[in-house]
Amino acid sequence: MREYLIPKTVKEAIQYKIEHGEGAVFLGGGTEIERLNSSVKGVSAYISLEALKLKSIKVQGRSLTIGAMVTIQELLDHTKVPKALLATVKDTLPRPIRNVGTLGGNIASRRKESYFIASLLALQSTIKLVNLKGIEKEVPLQDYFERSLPGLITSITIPHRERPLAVKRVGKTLRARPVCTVAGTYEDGESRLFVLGGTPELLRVKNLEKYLDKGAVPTADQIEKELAKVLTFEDDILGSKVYKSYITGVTVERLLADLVRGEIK
Amino acid sequence: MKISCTINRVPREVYGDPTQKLQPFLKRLGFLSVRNSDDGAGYAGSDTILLDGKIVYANLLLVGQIIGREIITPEHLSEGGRLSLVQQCMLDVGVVQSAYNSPATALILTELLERKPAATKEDVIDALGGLLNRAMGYQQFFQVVELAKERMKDPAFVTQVAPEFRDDLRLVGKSQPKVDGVKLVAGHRAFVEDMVEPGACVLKMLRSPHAHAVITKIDTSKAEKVPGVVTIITHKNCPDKMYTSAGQGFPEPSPYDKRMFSKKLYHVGDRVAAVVAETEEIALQAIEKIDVTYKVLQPIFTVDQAKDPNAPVVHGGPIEYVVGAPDNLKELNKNAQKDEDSTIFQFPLHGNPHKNIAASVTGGIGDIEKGLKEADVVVERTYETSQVQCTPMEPHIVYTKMDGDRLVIHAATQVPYHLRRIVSTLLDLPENRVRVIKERVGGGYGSKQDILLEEVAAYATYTTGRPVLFRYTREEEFIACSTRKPMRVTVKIGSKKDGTLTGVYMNVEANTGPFGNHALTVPMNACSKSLPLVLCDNFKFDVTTYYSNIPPTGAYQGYGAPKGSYALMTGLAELAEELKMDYYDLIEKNRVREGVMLEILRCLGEGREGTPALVKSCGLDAAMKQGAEMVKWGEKETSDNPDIAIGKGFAIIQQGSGLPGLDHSCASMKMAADGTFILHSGGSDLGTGLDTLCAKVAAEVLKTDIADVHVYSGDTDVVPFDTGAYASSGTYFSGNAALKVAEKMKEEVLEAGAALLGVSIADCELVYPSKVVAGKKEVSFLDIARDSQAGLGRGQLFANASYTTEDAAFPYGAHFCKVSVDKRSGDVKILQYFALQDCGTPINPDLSLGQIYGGVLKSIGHSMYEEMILDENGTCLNANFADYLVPTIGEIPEDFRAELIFTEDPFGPFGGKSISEIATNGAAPALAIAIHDAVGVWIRSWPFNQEKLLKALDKI
Repeated sequence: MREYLIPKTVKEAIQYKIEHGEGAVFLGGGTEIERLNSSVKGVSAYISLEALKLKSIKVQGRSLTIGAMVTIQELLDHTKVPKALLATVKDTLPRPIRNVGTLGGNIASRRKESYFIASLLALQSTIKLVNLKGIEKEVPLQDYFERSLPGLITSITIPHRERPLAVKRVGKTLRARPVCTVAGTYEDGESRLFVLGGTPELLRVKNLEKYLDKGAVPTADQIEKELAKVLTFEDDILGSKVYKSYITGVTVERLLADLVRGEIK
Repeated sequence: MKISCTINRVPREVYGDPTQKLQPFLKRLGFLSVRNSDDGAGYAGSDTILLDGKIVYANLLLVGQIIGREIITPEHLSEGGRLSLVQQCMLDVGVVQSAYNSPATALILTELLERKPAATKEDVIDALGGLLNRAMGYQQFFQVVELAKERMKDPAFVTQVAPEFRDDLRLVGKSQPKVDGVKLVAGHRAFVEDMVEPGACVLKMLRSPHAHAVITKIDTSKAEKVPGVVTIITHKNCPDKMYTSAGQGFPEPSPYDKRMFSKKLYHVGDRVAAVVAETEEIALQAIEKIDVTYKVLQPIFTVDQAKDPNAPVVHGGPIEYVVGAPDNLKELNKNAQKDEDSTIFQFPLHGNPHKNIAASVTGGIGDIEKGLKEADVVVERTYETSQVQCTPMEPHIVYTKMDGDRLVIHAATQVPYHLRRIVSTLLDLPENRVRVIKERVGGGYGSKQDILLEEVAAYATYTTGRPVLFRYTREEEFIACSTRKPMRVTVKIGSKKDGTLTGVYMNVEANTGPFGNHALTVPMNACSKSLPLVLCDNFKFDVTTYYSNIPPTGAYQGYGAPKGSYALMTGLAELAEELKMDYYDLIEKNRVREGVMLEILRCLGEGREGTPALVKSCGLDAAMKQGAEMVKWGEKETSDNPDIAIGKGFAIIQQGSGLPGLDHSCASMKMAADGTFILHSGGSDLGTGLDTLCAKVAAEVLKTDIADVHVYSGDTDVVPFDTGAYASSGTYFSGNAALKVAEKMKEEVLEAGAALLGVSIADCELVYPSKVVAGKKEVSFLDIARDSQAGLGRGQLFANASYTTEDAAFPYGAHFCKVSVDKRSGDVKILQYFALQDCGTPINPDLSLGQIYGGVLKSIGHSMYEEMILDENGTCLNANFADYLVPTIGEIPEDFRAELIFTEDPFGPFGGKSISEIATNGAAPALAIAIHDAVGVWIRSWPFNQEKLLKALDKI
């Protein structure tokens, strides 16, 4: 018999997690956990985050802090959330999921199909993470992924919400799982470029950033070569590795061109 | 746990498991309209509800998540018994077709219009982005929203939702809400799942993990001991009879090569054991306890593998014939495996299972060799199509129960009478002890023409006496169902320099998978529904269908025609390129025309000798001219973006209207005591509007209101025989049966009226509304009914009719499209798609348009995105909606238009011809030709995805 727990505070939520162990999952919107073929298996207890008051969106100067329980539709409806962050979301993620799925849940699911992870990393986002000792720390999102940090995400902060951002997502159809999601920022001669979907699953492509830092767009050949040094793909139902490698190159090239041309507002 | 929430504005406190999914919870509470099409993939939207005013999927929520919150289900929209504004608009525009998720659609559009009363096309796409509709292609939803916006300002607003035809008729050719539309759009009890009674057992199937194997040992003893298990059926205790799952006219042109359960397993997902238990959970628990030992055999998956002389044999058992056994049968059976199941041919299909051939046929007219020799140019091209799934929103489902000593089958089937025959035969029951009730069907598209689960549930009920529910999961829809047969079609076309065709050859190699259901007829149909599109003295075709171990195949809307059309029309476009001739001119020069005799049909019968047919009506002339104007054929267009190229394509298409000489439809009619009528139609309405069509036709003949003709169909205890809804037979056969019975009833009414008026019948006529008039005298149907049913009257008025024919009525069409191709990414966007179709008199114009849009979008899906992907062991890797890629509203062409081309046909009811199947035949060739026009490469296999295009462009 599984349990459904409704903590009233973050502290209580963490306590439940400690008490119920690995089988206990934090339940944001639940769209990922309840999805057919979800990677989340063997749940013994759901810890609902509904009552934790993690639903605010705060703007402070250039930074934007989003509560982990803010839904994707609420982000779309908010005027201060960077439009580019959501550029791929509206067409690819249907409203019934956007109305329930949360930003915190999307990050914590660590799916390579994520609509946000590459963009948030490009924007140098941080998260507030409460670890299993109940201590809340602000950590770079990149650390969260690279070090597989455990704990409960309570908020996400984008330090420079107006920084130019470009995002591209490639799939066979609008709602198909993407072959790759590519996101990049470029401002004042500084760039950050992330590719989600290959191996490694999440990659910062520093060897391409250096071109951009000089204000140049590498050629398709250069991109393909540089990507091949750091990124590989596997054959699967989304396509062959040759195709994936090629299309990721084309997508990166187009994204970089957009950034340099300043077409992304 | 006590769950406090508000459902449809009523505060409730109900006990439930908070970790249970919300959709089955709501269903159990009686909210039947919250349905399940995707098992929680978050894709199809049949489970849409409002949670605190926002649309959400009930299958992606837990019961615990609704505590303290407010839920609205589609039932709320029509509380008080009246349809809501949006529901009424859906009905008026004609979008309530197979309707499994029509209630959810109404809820979504209602929420949209409350949130955005001036909703734009983009808003509609956003709102419906999470809903799949396989029936009618989304396009008319924009019209629904526009109509709703008008009615929000003026509730009395009326508009013409579709073109009208036949000024001389009151009902035929005019749009009319479907007669069963109210209950479908409101989400009332309508589908099989709504008929299941408390206490019903659940059947779950243990399925083969291997594509080709033999069960060497099976032990169900542990499973039988699980409390709540009612029975377990395996190859050891099932009926020992061979049959075909194909719901075709008896004797079927499909080999009997299937046993309810077999020791030999033919595909991943094949039946190993059925567990019937008190609950689904118990059945699943018991399945885990069945011990099976398999001897794994080498599988084959392709035609080339099946053709290899050393290939493993899929069906190695004895070959038998009911009639027409070949002289060398003994020789054929020399190496038969006695411990394998037999393959029984009802009559010769020219198959040899020991060579993996399920059926074959060859034929032609004239002299193909001579024709090709006379040609100045000959092109020979091969095209391949993939395995695609019908994906009805209502999965396959059956509910069986005993009524005394009679078996009752509530079925979602296209073929109630064939289902009854097959079950009766398997269970050794007389047909009059089996009752099939076809409920409303939430999409079939061919897959519900096969008997895929009904016979197992029926056997379980018959042997245990318990009611049994068997419902497929979405995964089972892919791995244990009916799919489009993959084919390789080679065309060889010879032509003079001026484009005159001198010879056309078509070689069809089909992959039927593990069983030979429709093995002859689907591939033959690739020839019979494409070759007659062009006129030539010399035709030849070869058809061979091979067994393999892919998931089962069968019928799919269009049958073989989409594949034949793809090969022939693309082949002709390739010929035009060789001839340096405009493809349009080539088609115009050679296409079929009104008044020609189609001699080729002499050798294209379905398992029997065919009959040449005279083309009495053909709308191709108008369809081609109009389509060419719409797409601006001949004008080359370019893009400002150097990576983008624009191209145009088109194809002409045809289908049949049922199977003259094979199909058979009946109807009966009686007059009620108030002068209204009850029409019992043998036809099977699959949501396409067949019952509405029958009501219209009868009311038209009887000069009465459509509301005064109630149509009841699909119940084998009540309605007379009909071969069923397949082969585009509904309008033509079932519609003609309705016409014929109404004409007989008209005679009855006139006779009764004349007697009452004291005049001769010759002086009487029926006059709207509902009266018999003779000069200045008249008598109402009400008075006739009262008199006839009074004790001394003539007795209730009845009529019966049976319709068979040798006359053929061919629907035709031309589909035009314009695409943009991104030369660097391989992305293809369909900028325009114009489907112009001749269905004679469009009896239900609004519904006909939906049928066209639905057929086109299905075939766009097949051409561009969909394919079942198998791994090296034969396991389908994308057996779910999230990975299979059925087109959503976001994939529809930017400019998408269906046009009805009126022609006068002498044979159909009021000139009606079939409409829906043909619509699946145009997209593949039209798109392939448009892509070539854009970037100069021919894509000769489905799907035309980005990777394939990039390879053709030498980018990868």
